[in-house]
Amino acid sequence: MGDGEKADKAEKERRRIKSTEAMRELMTRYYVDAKTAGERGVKVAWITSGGPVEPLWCFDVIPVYPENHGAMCGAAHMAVELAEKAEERGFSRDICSYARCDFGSAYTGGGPIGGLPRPDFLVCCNNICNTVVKWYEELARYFQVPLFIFDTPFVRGGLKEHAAAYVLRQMEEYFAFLEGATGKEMDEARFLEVAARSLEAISLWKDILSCAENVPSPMTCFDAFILMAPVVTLRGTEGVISFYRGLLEEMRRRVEEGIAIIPGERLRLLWDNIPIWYEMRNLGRLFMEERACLVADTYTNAWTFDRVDVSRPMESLAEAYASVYLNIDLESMLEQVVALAGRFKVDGMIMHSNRSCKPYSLGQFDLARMFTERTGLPALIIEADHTDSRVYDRSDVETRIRHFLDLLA
Amino acid sequence: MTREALAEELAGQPEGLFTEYVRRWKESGGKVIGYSCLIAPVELVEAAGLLPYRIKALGSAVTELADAEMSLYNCSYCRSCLQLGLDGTYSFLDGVIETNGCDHMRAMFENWMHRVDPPFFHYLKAPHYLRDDALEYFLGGLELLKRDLEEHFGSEVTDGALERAMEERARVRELWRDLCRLRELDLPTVSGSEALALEIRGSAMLSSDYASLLEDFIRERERAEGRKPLARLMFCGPATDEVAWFAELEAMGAAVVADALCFGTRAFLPEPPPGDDPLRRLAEGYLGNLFCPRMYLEYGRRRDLILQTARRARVNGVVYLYNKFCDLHGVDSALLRRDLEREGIPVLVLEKEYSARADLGRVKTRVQAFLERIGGEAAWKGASS
Repeated sequence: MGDGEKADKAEKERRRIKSTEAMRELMTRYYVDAKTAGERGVKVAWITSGGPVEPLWCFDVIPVYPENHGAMCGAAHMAVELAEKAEERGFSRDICSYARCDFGSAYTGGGPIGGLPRPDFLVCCNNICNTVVKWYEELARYFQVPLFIFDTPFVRGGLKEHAAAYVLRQMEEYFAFLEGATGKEMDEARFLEVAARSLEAISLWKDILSCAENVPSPMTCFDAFILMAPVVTLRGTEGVISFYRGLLEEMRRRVEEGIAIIPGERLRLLWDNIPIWYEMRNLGRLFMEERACLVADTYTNAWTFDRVDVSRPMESLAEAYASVYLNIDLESMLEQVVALAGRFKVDGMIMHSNRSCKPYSLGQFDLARMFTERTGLPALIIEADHTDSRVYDRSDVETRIRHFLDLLA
Repeated sequence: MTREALAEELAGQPEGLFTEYVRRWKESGGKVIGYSCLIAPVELVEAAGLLPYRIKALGSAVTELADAEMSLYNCSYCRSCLQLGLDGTYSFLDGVIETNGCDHMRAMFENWMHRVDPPFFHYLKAPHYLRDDALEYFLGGLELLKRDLEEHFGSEVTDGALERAMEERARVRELWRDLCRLRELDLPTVSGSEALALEIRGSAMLSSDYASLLEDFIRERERAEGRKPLARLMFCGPATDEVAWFAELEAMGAAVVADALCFGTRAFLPEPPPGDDPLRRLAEGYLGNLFCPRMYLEYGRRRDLILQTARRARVNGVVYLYNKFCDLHGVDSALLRRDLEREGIPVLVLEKEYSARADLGRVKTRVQAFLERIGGEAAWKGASS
């Protein structure tokens, strides 16, 4: 190895986010725990990504996320073969590919970790879409296990009083369901403890994401897509707090030392929608070549809700879960996107029109237009699917991104 | 409704959305409120002295303006409806009620509000459960709708007016059941496309006038001579108003003798129970009897209803048609096919783009193959002997 190569390698190593290894360990431990839960008499619940997870930890139930698993299958390029298993059983190719991938994995035990552990029960919250409910109804039929559905009203212009009461009532019913499913009584002190830990994890996650406000940015949102796994799956546990403390420390150190994730950062961008999981590597390379850093996104920020009031944990958690990004009106979404653009000092926005995620993709054209009107910044819409690579046209997407970046530069 | 008028409806065009009935209503100073999902109780709108108008697209496949708002991954029926809102076809509406019927429909209304900015816009939140807490929540939503209608249009919705509107709607429901009986005869005197055309016309009328329309039509058809179809089919699926499309399929020799469609029998299932408080009765009737995949944990009820109807109407097969990218019907159709075929009822699932006339050849080929598969009359005789 020549001196130049050695220097390159050293520079790459300097830029690499070291906490990724700790995360890998944390997540491996989590999946091992989940997959061996039955042997230890611990219950497992499958839950949607927007669902209230704190009550599960409070009842010592291990939450498992089919969407997170879908993302893993997508990144491992295994989603298509699993989706085809669902299609063979009559499910349309136009249904969300996370759902198809999950059905396929449930039917065959396929996927990068050999499928998810069998659920003892299911928890589904429709604050992200209504497809999840159809999806979980089929899982409930397939596994013959109980299903709790948390129905969150779509929020237009703030949560109305009768809607807030409905959400709170369901939170109470959720606890009653868990009491029945686990045979345990609700322990309020334990719930407060879990809720406090969850809030701390969320707060740390927010601080981590905020580090990308710095120029140059110490991380891209592609890193955040990977590093978000613990806040999605493990918030409410101690392990996630110590991991995020370490990650925050690393990010702050990178900022102090001026370590840019994209060397020579010349453009800063906002990303909208779920990642194109099977294409992360290629797109990452493209943005690296173009010296464009995706500094923020609407997806990972979904786990940064900050309206939780610890003095009324049940009520405010219920309200927070009802008011997530995908469950609010266009104006409110615009406010959030504009705020992100300002905070992160972006030059433009790339929106992934996601064939699978209809609610995320609905309104994107309006949002793009309004975003440009409000900020004067351009927006590009690219078309793909979060895990079904069969509908992805790489050359078209890459060409469009390169043209867009040329325009910005 | 005469045969001529029905023929007009069967050849429905978007310009036909502003019907003669609606024109006269507007000329007499009446206001028109658009809605889309069956969860919006028309009785409440009528009790406020307004004309409820179910938004539809009458098979219009043009979506140029809507495509600038919604992606091609969104339901093409919603895009067609939005197009007609954006191009001014629906400018006769004095207000719109948005509902969260499904994600696509809700988003369609979001865009409608942004781009069209109707004089009155109300978002009626509807839960997805039938449970005590959900009922109270829906009732709260209906109270808000009632208050907003009263405030905006300056007309008080009295209990008496609501009771009257509910009675008139009950009469329509009863007549629809009579119509279904004529469809289900061994020699049906009403076709599926005619029933669809009636609902399309009736869903832009006051219940009292819709009842008269149905009465006249039923009277005429009770005396008519029926024709033995090549095969008896039941159609299931979401909101579709493609009458001409239906008529072309029926022209192949099969009769749609029963349906579980949104612009069909499902529109008449929400039935308020007896009681004192009319608004509460409405809430219970609508939330409890929607039979739509938007409702949670009710698949078994939907399946049983379809099975029961299919058996009563002695169908040879069920056609489940829905538009691409509809996750709700996309999942339900797969389950229903599995369950109905297990019960010996052949099912054809037709996933299509809304009003894709260019696709009609493909669809007809599939229907033809299905008819050959189920064997029509001969197969039914075999099964029942």
